[in-house]
Amino acid sequence: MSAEGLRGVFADPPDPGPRTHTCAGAGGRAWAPVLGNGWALVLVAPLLIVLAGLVLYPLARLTVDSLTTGAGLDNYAAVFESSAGRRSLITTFVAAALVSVVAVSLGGLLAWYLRTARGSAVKVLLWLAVLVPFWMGTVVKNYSIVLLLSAEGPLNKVVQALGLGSVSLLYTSAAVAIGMVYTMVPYAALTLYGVFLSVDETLLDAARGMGASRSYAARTVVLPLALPGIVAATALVFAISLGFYVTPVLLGGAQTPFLASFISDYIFTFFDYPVASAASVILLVGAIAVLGGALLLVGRERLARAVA
Amino acid sequence: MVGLLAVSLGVSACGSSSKSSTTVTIGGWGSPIDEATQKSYLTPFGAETKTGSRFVDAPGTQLARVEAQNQAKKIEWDALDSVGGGTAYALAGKHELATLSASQKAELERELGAVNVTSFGFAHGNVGNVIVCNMAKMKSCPANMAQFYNTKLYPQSRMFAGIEPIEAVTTAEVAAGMPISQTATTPVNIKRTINTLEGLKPKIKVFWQSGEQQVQAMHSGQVDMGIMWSNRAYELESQGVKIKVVWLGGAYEPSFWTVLAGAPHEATAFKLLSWIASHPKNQAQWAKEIHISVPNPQALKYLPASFSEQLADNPVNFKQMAVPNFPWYAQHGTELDTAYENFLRG
Repeated sequence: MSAEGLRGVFADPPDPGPRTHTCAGAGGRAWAPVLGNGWALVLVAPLLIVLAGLVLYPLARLTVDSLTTGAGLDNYAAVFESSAGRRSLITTFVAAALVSVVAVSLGGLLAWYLRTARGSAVKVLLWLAVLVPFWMGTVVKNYSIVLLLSAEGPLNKVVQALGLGSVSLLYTSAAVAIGMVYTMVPYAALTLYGVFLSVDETLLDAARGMGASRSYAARTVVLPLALPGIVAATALVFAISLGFYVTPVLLGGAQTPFLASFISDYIFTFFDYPVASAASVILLVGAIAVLGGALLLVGRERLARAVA
Repeated sequence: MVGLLAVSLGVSACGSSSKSSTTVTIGGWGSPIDEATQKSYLTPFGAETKTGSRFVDAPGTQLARVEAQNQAKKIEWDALDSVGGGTAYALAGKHELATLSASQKAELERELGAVNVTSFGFAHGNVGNVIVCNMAKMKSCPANMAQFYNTKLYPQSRMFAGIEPIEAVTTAEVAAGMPISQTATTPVNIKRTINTLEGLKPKIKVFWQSGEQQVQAMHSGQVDMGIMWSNRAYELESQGVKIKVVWLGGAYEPSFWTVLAGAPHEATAFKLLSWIASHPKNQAQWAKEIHISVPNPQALKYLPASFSEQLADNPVNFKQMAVPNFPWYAQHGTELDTAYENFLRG
């Protein structure tokens, strides 16, 4: 079907004429929806000041402290020379990567069903699945998983009933990953829901009308359009996952190495702020590298559009 | 940064204060220890001396918080309530605790016995790191620490300390054959003890970080046996879990009432320490509230025999336990803590 043939089927809306939105009083200046740079800067200035004072300054100070206090550059060496530090780094980054993939996959499915579901009851259920974890406190959320995975919890009872012995998941890296996924799925789902809303559903209909299967249409139409948003969601989930503290402590126990617990030990047990600062900077650099990588991968403009 | 941390670490006060001119600030543990201290000591002491008091809760982080105050050169706390032995000795080693005068030390020794008094305070809130078995899951329980470390003889899952390594390595030294009479004075061989612990590690399912976690791990069936604080073991028993407690070869874990060097109300804080030491009936009340042992030998007389049998300072229990080498820990704490961290997570 040619573009000419489509005309009349998908008719353009009537032209509203030039957008003026002027509400000028007698002799007053015309009101415009877009602020000038000067006013925009004035309005955003308080936020910038707060951001500079509470985010940028502490981060800059943290970096400077990690290089100038204690043993200087050797603070970083101390993190890498400690076997606990090395294992914490590896476990943290591997777990964050794994959690990002799983959470974005599950969150993506949830978001897509939210986008396409027709029945209101289904939609309510899906929204509850996304939002209820947000409403629960961190400790409550993690404790519910403790109960689920404990030796006499329902999971073990099912495994035992099936005659498969018993599984000991609690206080392992797997338990931490489960807890992190549970927390991060809503972040991924909400980010991707916005992305999927921007995907025109009629394009799918068109693809299917031209003979594409459901999965082929999803792969060749939805995925390319949503890719920048998927990358943005993955980067967001990864960056947040790097900083998990409560979940590794409650579900992983003392023996499961995560960088946040390592940093906590250096602050509260060893009172060694310089090494704690160095480990924190490593964590920060990891998060920035991933966000930077996401920018490079999909391009700044597409990424901004995806998360807008 | 340290100044900022000192502010964030040190000023979140809670508890009660009176309208008296002097208010003693105490680094505490939070509920229920704060309540027991308030009820048994601070309220009667305040009524007698017209002194107010308030807690700043810092469970397990007393060392970091006192260090932060020292680095910021702004000491805000006066005393520490039953701070762990390792922490107390580490702070004393850095001269961050006030020293008792000769006359006050002599007075405390008269009340509590020389064994319970150090240059910086007195032992109070003592527990044993004891072997505890869930007898619903085990036919027999290890009779001593060497058997607890024998994973062939007892292949069951265990829990073990994820914090306070000095007590943990003391049990390892005893398991390796060191007589309990020598642990308090023999330097810890870090490499040897870590090797001993490595042998036990495959059977350790839970490295606990709090008393609550000890109870929960045993109660939920996560482990069959383990090293627990004695007060938590009997708490478990009171919840209906059929347990056996073995004191032989366990590690004695004293805590200490101390006053901070440079404390704003140092004299009043020392007065509080003397008051507590000289009131065995109040100590008995404190012990009863939270099932933790107190130092005054007279205090045991105010407690039922069945209760005092469960306390670490009961002579029958005390003589079965190894006392950690705290003076050594004050000098080598960082070395041991780092080695233990690498053992746990490395």
